Amino acid sequence: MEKPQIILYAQKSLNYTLFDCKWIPYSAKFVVLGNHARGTGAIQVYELASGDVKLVKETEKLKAFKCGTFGASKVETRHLATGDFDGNLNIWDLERLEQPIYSVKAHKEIINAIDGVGGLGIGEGAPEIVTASRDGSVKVWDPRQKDVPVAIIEPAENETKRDAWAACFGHAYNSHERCVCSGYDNGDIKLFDLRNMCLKWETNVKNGVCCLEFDRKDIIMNKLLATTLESKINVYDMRTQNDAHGGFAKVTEKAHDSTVWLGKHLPQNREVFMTCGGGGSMYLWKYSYPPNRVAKDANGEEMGVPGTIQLLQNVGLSSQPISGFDWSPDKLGLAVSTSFDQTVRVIVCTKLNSI
Amino acid sequence: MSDYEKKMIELQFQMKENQTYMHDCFEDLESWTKDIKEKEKKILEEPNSIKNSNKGLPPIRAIATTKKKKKKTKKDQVETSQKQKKLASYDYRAWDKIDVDKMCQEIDDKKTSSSEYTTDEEWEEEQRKVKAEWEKERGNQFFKDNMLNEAINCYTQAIQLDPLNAVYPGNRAMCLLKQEKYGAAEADCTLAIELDSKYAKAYHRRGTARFKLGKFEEAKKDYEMLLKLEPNSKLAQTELNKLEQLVESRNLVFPVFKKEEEKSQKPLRRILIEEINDDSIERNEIKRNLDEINQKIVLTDKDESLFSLNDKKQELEVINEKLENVDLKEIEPKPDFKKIDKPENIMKINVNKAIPEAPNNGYQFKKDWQLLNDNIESLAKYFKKISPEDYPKLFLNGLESDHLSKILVIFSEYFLSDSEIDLFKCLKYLSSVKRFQTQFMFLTSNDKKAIEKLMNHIKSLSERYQKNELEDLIKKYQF
Repeated sequence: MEKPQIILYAQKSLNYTLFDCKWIPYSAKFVVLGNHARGTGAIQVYELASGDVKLVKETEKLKAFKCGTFGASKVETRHLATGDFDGNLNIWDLERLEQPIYSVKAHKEIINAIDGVGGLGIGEGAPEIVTASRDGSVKVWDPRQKDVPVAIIEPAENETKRDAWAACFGHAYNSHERCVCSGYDNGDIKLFDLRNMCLKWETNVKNGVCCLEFDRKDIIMNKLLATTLESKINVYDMRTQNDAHGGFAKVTEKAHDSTVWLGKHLPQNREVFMTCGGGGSMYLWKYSYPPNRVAKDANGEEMGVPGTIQLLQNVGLSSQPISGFDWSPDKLGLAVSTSFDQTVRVIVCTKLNSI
Repeated sequence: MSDYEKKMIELQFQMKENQTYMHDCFEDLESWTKDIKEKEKKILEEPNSIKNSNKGLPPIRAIATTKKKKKKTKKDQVETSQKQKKLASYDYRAWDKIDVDKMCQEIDDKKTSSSEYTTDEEWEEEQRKVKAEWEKERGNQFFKDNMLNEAINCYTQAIQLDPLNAVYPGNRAMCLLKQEKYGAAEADCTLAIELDSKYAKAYHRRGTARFKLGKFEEAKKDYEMLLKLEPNSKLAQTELNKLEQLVESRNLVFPVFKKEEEKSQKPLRRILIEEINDDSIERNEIKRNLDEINQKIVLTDKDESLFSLNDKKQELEVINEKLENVDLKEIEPKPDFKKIDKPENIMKINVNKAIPEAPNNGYQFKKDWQLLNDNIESLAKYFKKISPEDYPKLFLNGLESDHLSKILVIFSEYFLSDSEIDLFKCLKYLSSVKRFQTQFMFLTSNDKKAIEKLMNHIKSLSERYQKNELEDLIKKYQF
């Protein structure tokens, strides 16, 4: 009973495919994105109400939605940025869902991943959105600039394009610095510095990277979580870069016995994260730092020392892959998840404050 | 109990615990849900203006790749245009047909389109300028919030990004002035002036800095420069005046300091001091009276008990009793220059006041009138200076009743006996002043007597004036 428990609080079965879910900041509501069988996109807003979820708002749009984020919106306005199957990036005001407040044809193909930074009172600097698409490019957008992205990260002319499966922001500890990390289907992970517009680090984990996340966006890079195919979870220690030894130190774990679709850090504690697998299982992990994070290598240069991750709890709530998972930024342990069995589940993890 | 039973009991216990735990968990979640809903309501009630402000955000990030693309297009354009317009040097007819002005205009147009840059450096410079401006805005915000060190840092960064803009060192100088770091402020102002010799604010701030440093001459020069740049600025003029005053006041008599040897060897004499002034004598008397009062109103223990919140009435009675026992010596009041109770004394004192020149407008008149208000004679002298034709202009907004009474007094007392003044004219123009008729209705009996006197005097001079004019005047002053 001392271990954290993962308890199902409420679940609801829906009639369309769900791809992503996100909590609306400062509320007990969450938004669910997906697509109907007829090919149109669906946005639904649900609210927690005494053991059940109640539908508050819904709308149907032309194209199916793949992913969304609140990362670049202000707390008061709560604008949801979504990427759809057609490569369009839209920003919606949830109070007025008829028209998007920003719309651009970001990519030629489906947007696989989206992330936002600079909003929600986290970090300083301009609000920006990054999108990763199957057309191989990763683009950074500023909602104040129409049509043209602020930065484009794409392979050179003659090289083969690999699907970009994941993208995330990090290292945004002041208004100038920012980093974008992108993961590809061949296992490439590339880290770009947006201030100097250069490639900072790249590596290959041999399996397609499904999800990338820094433990915190608004601090100097600390840890990077990369989940891949073939049930691998990698955690990189991003504080010390030593290119002779492959850049950053990492620790790898095998779990889930299937593709690890998602890895999300707990907003209230950056050492705790949840990974979601293709078999519908959720694993709760904790990262422990080594006694010395930095060691001297053969040449006397500093190199990072990876820590260890320890499984705290696991639960199998579904039989289908879990496509979306989000921790609530307001309540410790509250989370919402969606899976391909067309259900949305609200779960509570207990005893997280005593880890 | 067998192990099995023990285990059963343990299991039951655990299940109960689980259940209670779950229950607590869910209740906690419920209460949280309520709280967060309230919070959300509050946030949503915020006015829209707060929601939609994009100010204070850093400028949009630089575009890396598209920049290069733009460079290519620009080059193409330039090449094609050059191909079109290259004229052979021997083709005189073509040269004759060239419209130089048009070509110049085209070049100017190309330059002004801000999205096209021929080189990377130009574009980078533009970016840096935008960043510098943003730093300046941040600095301004810090300055408003009185966070001067942060403001200075912002301005320093702005200067680094764009060293040719005079506004940034000027603003930094303002912060330094506020921090009383006058030397550094002066240096920054000098820098700003070097970048822009017509930057008025920099001169102003440097003037202030120099003033505080004691460099009065140089401060004066700065203010003069400021006046040259902004001749209409009242601020510049007042500052200059202040400075001049201070410089003048420094021409004081300073005590003489002599060395021991140089000092006079003569013995010191004792001189008797006679007090002529009444003040000190009165002051002593007042003091004596106060002492008497204090002696009589001595609080005994019994009285102190009265100073409770309930019996205020009784308190007052006791104090009144004690006051009656004290009889104060009559003291003559100090001659208060503001009160007009002793006309003779005051007359003697004020006879030296300068009488101002004739006023040009109503405001000047009012001011001068107030200045001389206590002394009728000087008022009369002042009024004499004003020509009668100017009365309507001076009293543009109409006469005031006390003005009118005083004027009538002046007329009847002083002007009557004065042969130089044409009383008729004075009266005529006075009557043509706005609102004269209305004021006329509010005259006191004294005023009416004065008017009677004046009328009688006028009638006696009937030979000098035309009959109908005289009649008109008398009509106007009739009641």
